Amino acid sequence: MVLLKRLSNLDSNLQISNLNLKDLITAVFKNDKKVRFKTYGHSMSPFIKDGDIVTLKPYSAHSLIKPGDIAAVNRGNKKIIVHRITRIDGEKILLKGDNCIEFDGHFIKENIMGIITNIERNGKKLRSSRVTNLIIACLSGSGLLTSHILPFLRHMKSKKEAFARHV
Amino acid sequence: MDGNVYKNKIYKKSENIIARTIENELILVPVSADIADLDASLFSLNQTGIEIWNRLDGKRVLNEIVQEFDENFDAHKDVIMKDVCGIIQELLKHGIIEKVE
Repeated sequence: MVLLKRLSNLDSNLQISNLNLKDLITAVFKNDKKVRFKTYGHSMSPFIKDGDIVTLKPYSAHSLIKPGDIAAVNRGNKKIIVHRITRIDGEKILLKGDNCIEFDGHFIKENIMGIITNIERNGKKLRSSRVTNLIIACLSGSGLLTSHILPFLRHMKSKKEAFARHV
Repeated sequence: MDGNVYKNKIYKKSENIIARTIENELILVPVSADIADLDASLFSLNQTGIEIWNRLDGKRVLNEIVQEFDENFDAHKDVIMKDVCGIIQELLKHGIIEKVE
């Protein structure tokens, strides 16, 4: 009889839902530890892609957060959302996915569960700087990121791939 | 690390494990270097495993736990011993529990 089961994939063996992930993260944060997990979805692409692994550190009222930071926020409907802080308005943050047209809206800082400290892709840590994150936040907040910059980058990428196929 | 199971020894939960009940299973999250890695190494215990886990209080020797199961559950003592020793060995192997010296 199998009493102990190793879970190799967070959402396959137990079909752990977003609620359960939030539950696990909460349990880890209560012990004041960081948590590392795989992300799913495209709302933060290309900065966080589907399958990237992120490390999250717990947020507290004493934590310093800045526009550009990527936060895991308790959305209140049993979901967590991992998007970028584009602006801080007093006790509220304005959140938006880098690949999203619409803002998620304002959330009070109390709803922040944690802040991303690390993004890994294919076993490598992605480099980022505070300045880069701030620039992305500004471009995202203005709408330029989704309206012009990302489409341009995707266009250039497909051109490059087409060229590589013909070489 | 000694992977053998001793019936006259006491076992306790590792301090580097975070446990949380989700959907009637106990999820065990090992923590290493201050990071709980949900991607690499998660474990779950079913109901029987949870009953054993709850008794690993660092005070009772393994034989006492088996005795308790024998008194409270309808199963042959040999089967209970085998299950308990089996789970203890697995938990030891993955560093989830430790032997109290």
